[in-house]
Amino acid sequence: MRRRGLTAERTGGDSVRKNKDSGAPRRIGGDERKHSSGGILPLVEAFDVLSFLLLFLKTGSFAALGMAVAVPCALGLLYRLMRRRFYADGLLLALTAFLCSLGLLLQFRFDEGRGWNQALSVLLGMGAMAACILFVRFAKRWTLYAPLMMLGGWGLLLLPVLFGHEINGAKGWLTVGPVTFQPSEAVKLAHLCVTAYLLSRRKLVGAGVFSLGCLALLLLQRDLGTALLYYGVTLVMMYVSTGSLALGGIGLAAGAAGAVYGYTAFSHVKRRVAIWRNPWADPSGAGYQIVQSLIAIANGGLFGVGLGLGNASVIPYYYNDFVFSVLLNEFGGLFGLAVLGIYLLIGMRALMIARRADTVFDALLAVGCGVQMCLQTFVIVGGNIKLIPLTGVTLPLLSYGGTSMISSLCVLGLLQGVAARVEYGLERDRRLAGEGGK
Amino acid sequence: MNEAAYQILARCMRFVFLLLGALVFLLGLRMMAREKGRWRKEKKQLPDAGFIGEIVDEDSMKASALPHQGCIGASSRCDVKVSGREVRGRHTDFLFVEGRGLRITPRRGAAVMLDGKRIGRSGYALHGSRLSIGACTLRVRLFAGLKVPERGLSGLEDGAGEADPLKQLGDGEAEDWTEMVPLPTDHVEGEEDYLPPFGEEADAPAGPYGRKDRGRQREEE
Repeated sequence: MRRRGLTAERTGGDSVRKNKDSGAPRRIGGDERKHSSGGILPLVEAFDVLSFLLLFLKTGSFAALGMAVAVPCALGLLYRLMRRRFYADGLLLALTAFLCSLGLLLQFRFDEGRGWNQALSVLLGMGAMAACILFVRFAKRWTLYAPLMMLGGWGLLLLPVLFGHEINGAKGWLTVGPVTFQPSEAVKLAHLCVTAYLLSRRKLVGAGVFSLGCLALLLLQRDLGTALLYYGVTLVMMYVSTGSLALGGIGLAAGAAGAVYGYTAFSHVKRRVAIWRNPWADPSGAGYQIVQSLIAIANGGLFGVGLGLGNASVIPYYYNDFVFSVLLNEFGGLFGLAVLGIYLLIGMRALMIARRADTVFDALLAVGCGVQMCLQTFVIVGGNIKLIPLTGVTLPLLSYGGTSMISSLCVLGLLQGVAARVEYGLERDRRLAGEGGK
Repeated sequence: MNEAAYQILARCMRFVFLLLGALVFLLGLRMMAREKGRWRKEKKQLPDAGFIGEIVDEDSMKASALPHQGCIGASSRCDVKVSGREVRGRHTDFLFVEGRGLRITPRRGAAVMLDGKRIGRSGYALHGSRLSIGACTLRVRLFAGLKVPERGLSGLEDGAGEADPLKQLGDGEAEDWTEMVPLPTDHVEGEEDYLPPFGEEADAPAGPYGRKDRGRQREEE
């Protein structure tokens, strides 16, 4: 069938606009859009150079000087590679680059060893991100992948219950040789894909059963922070796929009931809630971490004390759970707001991609990834500033931790994969419009 | 560097970092707003963007645009709304699978005939295929340029519901509902061999594809 009449007349082939210089028509989009970061990448590179140079002046370490050159070059190269070869979204890439380099800086600031580990995690994470982009773009056999991911996910979550060791009240860690990792971070990705797949097939019960299974295993691990993330993502995806307020209401009620159960059943939850309500009751004991965090944030004020001049290292686990407090201390509250704004932009971009997706699966996956990033950010930042009780989750891309960094970049990779498919849909529409106009 | 000089430098640089951070955020926001505007503009210039064809009710000759994925039924929440006897609220789902066609998956207990054959779990409709949903008969029209197999002439000429000469997937075959679409690397060729519009539609004005076009066509009529 050839497209005729109004459509062909209106489009007349591809959309064109005049080239400013020569007046010759050229296509909208295409290469000019593919390589644009909206001017963000040069700013990120400037930030990297200046901040690492400043660190070099502070510490005299040539590693910092090397990072001032290596980080902007590496990020620039990775950006171009991802855009050209993997059709990654430019804005998401640029924002990810900024957050990754900020995370590198904060780790390098206090401990070079941790900084190098973080750099290695970023490189591995970028590779994993590329793999996730390709997976979403080209995966076909979801009837095979989904059950495998479900069983694999449950299996991985069961391992720490049987063989894991406890850190800070949660038994969610596994040690394999020299490597210690948290399986729930990897299962996060499977949870997103499987829930999106099942909900796109209208298998609400299946999605509910899978999520409940994951939640139950996380409760056995006593990893309530991660359980909260899984619950939140599932609830939002179910609401988006069904549009049912009643279902959303039931989900919220079930979540509230779960929270009450968690409070009554787990003593460490009671302790954390008590500390959250009044950390000053025991400022040098149980409340020490929160109290020091609040002091560091207040000390930083609006503009911060300056890079290298803060003393937030007195906060226990300042490099992962309280990295946001470190950031507020040294860079200030306004900078912290800008960083939160960047996380929000990532979430908004995910929603934008979801709205443009052609299939329900793509849309749900994009929504899930966006909610995952934003909810995790909210939970940890809220804990740092005493808005909500502290949980054991990490701040995506900023906190120290290989598993956390790689899984956050993988979540962004899944989102990038959906963005690439949306881009393909638009290219197909342009192509069809061109053929219809012949 | 001595401590006092570093303190002065660091305190000055915090404003630079704040400016850079704020600019990253603001440029990101601006880029999203501009890109949203560009997307809308481009979609307006491609009024059929997001659609893969249309589906025509042979009784009323009413055409509905076919999105990439959706459902057909009597409910107003369906993407393609049809009314008639034995048509359920949500009667059947469809999904365009590149290289295969329009995959039709009837809901549980709903009967759908594709070119005279009853669909079991799922079937693939091509350009010109006829779907019978309850008392309604619908004709599928797909845009030129889409990667779908060619359909034989005999199934269209008489329109009597003969089985499509091409092999169709039907009863008992478990297919992947959310089969993913790979990114193309080459321009699609050979798509110009599509059959001309069937029967009386050859001289009729082009069927409406988008809402704006439907309105304009009504005005023209």
